[in-house]
Amino acid sequence: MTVGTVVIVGSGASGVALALSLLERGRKVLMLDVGREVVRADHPDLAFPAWRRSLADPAETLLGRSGEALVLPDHDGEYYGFPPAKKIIFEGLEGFDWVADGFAPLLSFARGGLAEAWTGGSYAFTPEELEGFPFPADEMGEAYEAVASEIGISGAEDDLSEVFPHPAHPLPPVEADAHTTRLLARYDLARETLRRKESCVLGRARLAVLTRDRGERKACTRLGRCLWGCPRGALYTPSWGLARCQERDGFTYRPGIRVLRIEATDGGDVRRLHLRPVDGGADEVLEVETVVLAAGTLATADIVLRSLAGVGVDRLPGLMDNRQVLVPFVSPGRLGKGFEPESYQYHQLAMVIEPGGGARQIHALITTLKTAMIHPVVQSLPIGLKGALRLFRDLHGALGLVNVNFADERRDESFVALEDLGGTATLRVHYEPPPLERTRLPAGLRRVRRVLRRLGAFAPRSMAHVRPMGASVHYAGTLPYSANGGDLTLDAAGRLRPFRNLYVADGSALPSLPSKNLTYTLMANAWRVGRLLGD
Amino acid sequence: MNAEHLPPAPSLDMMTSWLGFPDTAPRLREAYERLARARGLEARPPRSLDRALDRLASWGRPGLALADAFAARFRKRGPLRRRLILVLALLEADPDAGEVLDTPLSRGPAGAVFRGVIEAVGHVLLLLASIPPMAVLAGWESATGGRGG
Repeated sequence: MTVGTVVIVGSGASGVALALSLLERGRKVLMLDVGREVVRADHPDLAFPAWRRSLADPAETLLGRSGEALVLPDHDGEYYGFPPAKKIIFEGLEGFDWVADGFAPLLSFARGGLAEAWTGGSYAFTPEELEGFPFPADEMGEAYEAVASEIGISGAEDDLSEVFPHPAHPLPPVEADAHTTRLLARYDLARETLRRKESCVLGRARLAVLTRDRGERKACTRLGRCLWGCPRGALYTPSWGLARCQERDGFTYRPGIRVLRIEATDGGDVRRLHLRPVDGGADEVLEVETVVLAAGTLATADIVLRSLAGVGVDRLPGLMDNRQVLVPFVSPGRLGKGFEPESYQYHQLAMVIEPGGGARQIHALITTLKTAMIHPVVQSLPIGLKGALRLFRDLHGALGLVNVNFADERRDESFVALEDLGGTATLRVHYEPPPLERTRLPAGLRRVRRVLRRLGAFAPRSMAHVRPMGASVHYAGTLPYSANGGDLTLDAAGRLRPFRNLYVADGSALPSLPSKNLTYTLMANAWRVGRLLGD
Repeated sequence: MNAEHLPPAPSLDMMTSWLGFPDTAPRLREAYERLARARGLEARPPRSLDRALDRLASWGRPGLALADAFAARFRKRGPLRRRLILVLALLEADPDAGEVLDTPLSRGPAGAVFRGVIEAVGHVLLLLASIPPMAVLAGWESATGGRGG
């Protein structure tokens, strides 16, 4: 390996942002990754109805060969079946064993990682939310802007700009569908009341979605195929960033590799990585100078715990995730008015609520229902299926979903550990909800329902679905930044104490977790670590 | 899957036709058989109540309407309802049927509310009407263990 090469483990949002930052500074990068390839969607000019017509076997594409996206009544998971084309993102890896209590972990061994399923929400942490980080908030501000400039973030100058100052100059927002436009118009009328009574502000979503062409990636033309993978690359996923890395000199991508553990001297010098080819073959040893772990919180914990098993470290406390609650709603004024299949499919609005009483900010994403499969919703109506189908056709354009996110904090009771189960080293993921969740969740949801009423929408209480911990995939906190020092914490540069040349640049690094999607922050943090390493 | 291994009733043609898509069934047959097999829906139901529902559903459109209303209230997770939902999922994946399903039936909120009331009342009437035949058929299935022809 060339002298001065930085080895990055993982090709997710963090790893790719870090690589781009290092390459920009002339550093050489070797990226090690399991790297299963996600097939890119084709026909970049066909809108959803024409695309569905073009498919050789629409049932196989939309429902899956074995009906993976078919939601039958005994399905106890989410409202929607996951699109078959994206199934590979969450496929397991032979030999990577885990068990979980109180947590439903999702891991990815795909090229681009978990963020290949990202819905684009780009919400920077506020300076207050960055207070626990051992460096000035300005450093992150600079990194947020650099990432926005790289991936393209659309949004608007609106009330949300008060709470999301970055990016300072977003691309114009994606064109709103009629239902979204109606909700925005109602917000305009109720703005002052919502601010005063509910401490709520609302605005256009900040999305990693291009509204202007940028190289290989083309602007969103509202094909309505977001759920099955954007064929234009308008919606950023890390595999697009990886492709950018591969265009640069000094970048080497090595897929098909699982990093088992690191080997360091007693003085904390990491000297070697132990690697295992995922498709067979003998284990390898790689001599290294500088290593950055960016494999995602759980996979990074697995590597660290395997590496430290001989020195008595078997647990990383502080695992965090955002509790999410899905709140379906109906806008009666939209009944019988149909929906627009040719529109951006994920959330187009976002809102922030300050609940007061010591509770942390609530962040909610508002999605109007469009081309998602309808059979999961039709069967939930309390009448016969034929009548429900007729009823649903009038309801379709009036339906929406609020994804309400709640903050989390590090607690020793929630952890990732490595245990010997039946002779196999197995990752244990253990999560216990915060003690106040039982009171704060219902209070927060009452407030969300009141806001929806002001927006002219009705949210049946019985339809709210509390997602299991782990479903949001906002995992963080197991190797946190700390200004106070201590082994297995990070210094301001992202260096893992007590090691000299081992860095961590994924969700593990976050010392607290606000109620928002963390992907934008992960990328900004990785970019910042890359800048410090590269300069 | 051979035809004799398919659930006895109702047939795919009957279900698609009853849902309003009489010309769609041949195109969906392969996918229906594949997914019914993958989800274990091709077997004859072991419960007498489910066999009774299948028998009622085999009495043409009126029988299927009664069985659908009964299943929506009393056998939400039963095999008949699961097969109907599979058919609905296949219809929405079908380009022609999907485009029909994507269009509203009413022209605005008032019409939609009126239709909702009609559907709700219709459901209650069908549910009430389904109880006597289901009581008889379930009793028959229970007594004969499903061998009563």
